[in-house]
Amino acid sequence: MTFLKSLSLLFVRRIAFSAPLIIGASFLSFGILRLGSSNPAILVAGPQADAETINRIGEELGLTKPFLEQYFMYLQKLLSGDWGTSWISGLPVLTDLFGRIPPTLELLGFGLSLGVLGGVTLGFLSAKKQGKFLDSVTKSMSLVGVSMPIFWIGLLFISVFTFNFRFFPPPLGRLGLFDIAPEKVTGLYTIDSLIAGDFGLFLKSIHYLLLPALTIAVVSGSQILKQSRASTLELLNSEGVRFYKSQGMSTFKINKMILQLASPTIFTTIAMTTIYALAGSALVELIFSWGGLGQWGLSAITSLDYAVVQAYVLTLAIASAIIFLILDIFVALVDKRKLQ
Amino acid sequence: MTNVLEIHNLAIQIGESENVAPSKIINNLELSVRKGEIHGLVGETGAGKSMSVWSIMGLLPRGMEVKSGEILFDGKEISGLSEKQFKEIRGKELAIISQNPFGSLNPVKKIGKQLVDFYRQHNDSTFAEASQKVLEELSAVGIPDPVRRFHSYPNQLSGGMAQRILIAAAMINRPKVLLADEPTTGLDVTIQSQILELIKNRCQELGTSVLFITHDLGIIAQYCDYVSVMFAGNIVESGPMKDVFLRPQHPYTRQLLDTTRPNNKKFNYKDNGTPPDLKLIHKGCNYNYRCQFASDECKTPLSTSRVDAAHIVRCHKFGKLDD
Amino acid sequence: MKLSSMRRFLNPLNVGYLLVAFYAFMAILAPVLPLKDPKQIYVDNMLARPSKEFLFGTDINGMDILSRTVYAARLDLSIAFAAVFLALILGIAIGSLIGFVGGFIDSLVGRILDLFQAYPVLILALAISGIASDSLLTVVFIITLVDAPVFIRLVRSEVIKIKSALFVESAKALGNNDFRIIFRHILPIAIPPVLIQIPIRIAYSINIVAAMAFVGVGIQPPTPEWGSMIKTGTPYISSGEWWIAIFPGIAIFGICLALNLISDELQKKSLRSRS
Repeated sequence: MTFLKSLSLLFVRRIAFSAPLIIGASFLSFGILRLGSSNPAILVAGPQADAETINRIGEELGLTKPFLEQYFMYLQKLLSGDWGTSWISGLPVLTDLFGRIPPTLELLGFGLSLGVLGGVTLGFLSAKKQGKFLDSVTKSMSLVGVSMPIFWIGLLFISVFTFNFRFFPPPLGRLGLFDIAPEKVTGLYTIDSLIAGDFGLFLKSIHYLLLPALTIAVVSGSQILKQSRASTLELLNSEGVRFYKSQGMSTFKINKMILQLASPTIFTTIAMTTIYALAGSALVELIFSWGGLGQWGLSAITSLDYAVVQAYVLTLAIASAIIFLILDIFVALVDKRKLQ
Repeated sequence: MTNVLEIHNLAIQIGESENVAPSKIINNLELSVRKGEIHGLVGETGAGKSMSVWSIMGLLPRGMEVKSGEILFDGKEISGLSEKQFKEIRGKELAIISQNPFGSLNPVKKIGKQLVDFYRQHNDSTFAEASQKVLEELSAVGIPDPVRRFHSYPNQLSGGMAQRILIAAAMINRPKVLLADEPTTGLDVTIQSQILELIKNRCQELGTSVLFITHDLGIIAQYCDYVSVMFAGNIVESGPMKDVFLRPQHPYTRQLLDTTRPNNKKFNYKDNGTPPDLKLIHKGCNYNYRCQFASDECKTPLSTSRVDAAHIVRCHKFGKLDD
Repeated sequence: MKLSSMRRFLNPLNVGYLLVAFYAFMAILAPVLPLKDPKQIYVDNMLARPSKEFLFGTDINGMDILSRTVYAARLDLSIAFAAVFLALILGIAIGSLIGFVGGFIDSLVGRILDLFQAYPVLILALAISGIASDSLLTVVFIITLVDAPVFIRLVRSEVIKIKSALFVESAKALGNNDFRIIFRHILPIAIPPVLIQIPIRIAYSINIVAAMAFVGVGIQPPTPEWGSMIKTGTPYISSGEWWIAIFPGIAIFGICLALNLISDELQKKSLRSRS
């Protein structure tokens, strides 16, 4: 089978698996509304809506119709791009949504990359140097990193690095109050400022990005470190490594083999950590006023902007599905057997 | 006849950690393998056969180390070599195969690629040249349709086929000594004899000496020129296979041989068969605690007695067993 | 006491247990300990720095952080313990039945459980909590809902592994009825691996309770709760009044550290006993 063909088969299989997830999430987000009150229209319309708006929304939601029919109406609307309107912003939810994705993407991307890089490398190294100083240090570090609540770590960082040492700017968002955002190409300030050639703005956006990203990196990195260390250790003591050593293979080649064999487990851990980070980053966004998807969703939950809550729940399901798809692709790249 | 491999006074220790006091699992091991011979190492489970052999390669597991003694390979001391130096001889002059080919080979890499890597590690050659050598080697170990197997993954093979691949991997760089750690345990009997024939023939062809670990006396009898009997970390008797099997001098050897013919016991020794407690190894004979002929003398240090030109035994009661 | 035997006693597992015991001690005995009233407002001492009188300082409302932190332990710990306990019961009940019965229902439940794993359940907990009432019981139920799938999944997989074992076949052949088989034969072996997961689930649950309060759903001030205390303290971090948010966080850190230590050691022990 050609590479492309087997890859597309993988795609199809993963989509088949993810479909229940997304459908389930849509059902849940549909159901949440009905759970909240006898007249969901009130919730969607918002506390400031008048009776007329409430009635109109009630019509739109088809509240008089049987449950399943309401659900199918909901699905239809979703697929046609009508995800409702936020009574807080007054804008269609989908519009708000698209605006909120780039900041979260930037934060998660940067933070998780740091976490993955640090976690895998340190885990691998500390397993190879088991029992030595580095190993004890990383073991303690990962224990601490896993035990601290993510929103508290962010606050701790702000207190120490922003207030005490003034290394970083105050947690006001992605840029300072008087900074102008770069022209939107991707929505990611770091990349966009580079594209615009504004190196100063690029550095500034990194400056603001660093602390929240570090918060995510510490928590996710600790989990990844644990798994990376455990997998490497297991492989170091395995018969396979012993055999390769007996054949006189170089340490480089053996390290390569260890990473290759450890990859599926480590990749899966990275995927799970990313999923946890979807929630964790939302809390981080709150603390740093990041203006991303998480802050939007969480604010909607507390202020009862239900259309947004529904969209948030659904978007996270889609994001999870995409994460698992990427996981599958990476695992297949390392273990080519899966393609056959 | 030169000794291609010599082990003198080897002691292997386990448990050098904070909580456990170290204990010797191998003590005073003496073993010699002559050039071109197939030397069987036999003993019960836990006797320390595997440990001794892996220590030759310098690949003891974490927590075990060579405490003292010397290992001479081709006259050169190798027990103290650094990792870097070991890499020169591993896979090139000394090779080892073990019981489980599926655990040894990389499951996610094609077999051909793995063997090519093994070859190119010790030989300067292009991928094409190495592939050619690998295909030749695959044929030499009796793999039908080598080209197809070259592009297969290990899990697509049967047990016997995989073991052949392992042998090919070990022999491809023409090692002087092949260490075999129970390579046929776990295979079907018919496959077993095929693999054993393969090892015997290939090694004789290439002039490779073999140190073959097994607990199966039948295999020793059929395929080995020399045999060493091991008990509780010590070689108790060693010599040409025929000599040792026809005229065993050590009580343990005699008892072992009896177990192969339960209805026709020649020596009728009683032995309670309990495994030795390695932490209690002391100066005298380790077989003491379950030997029929044990006396106080047996608690004193042993010396090697010569039975014949090449046949040796370590027993205080040597010569007195048949009285 | 000899120094060496003391060092041996202070291994990670025991340290974890000691710390948990310390927290339990403080939480249970809070009312009789020499602490100030957690809800009392000290009008003259608002936003006071940590001092001899207020060891952890006070917040903007003038409430003593130390006593609030200790009292919050009662709430957070009892919610977490209760939820995990309930989830365990549910897990054993549902998991063993589903796993034993097998068939279509088992595959269906299995798939649903897989979906739960593939989603950031914290968000679900927050969303549901946002709509539902703020009562204590609701919070406990929501956390039980988050933990239960984990236990159901674990018990189910253990039961499935065991049910095909030979001794179950012989029990059946001897005429045992199904319930007897489950209780007397399967569960004793299925449950221990599940118990090992308890410390870490408690840690997660504490985090979720705190996160819920931090976001603003679930437990609300002035009830002392670690997460809501951190929330109250967040605006003051940038202006230097760090003690309001940091001390409750240290409390969470401490108990989670202890639970993680215990969990790690238990995992190591179970791996050792299996090999």
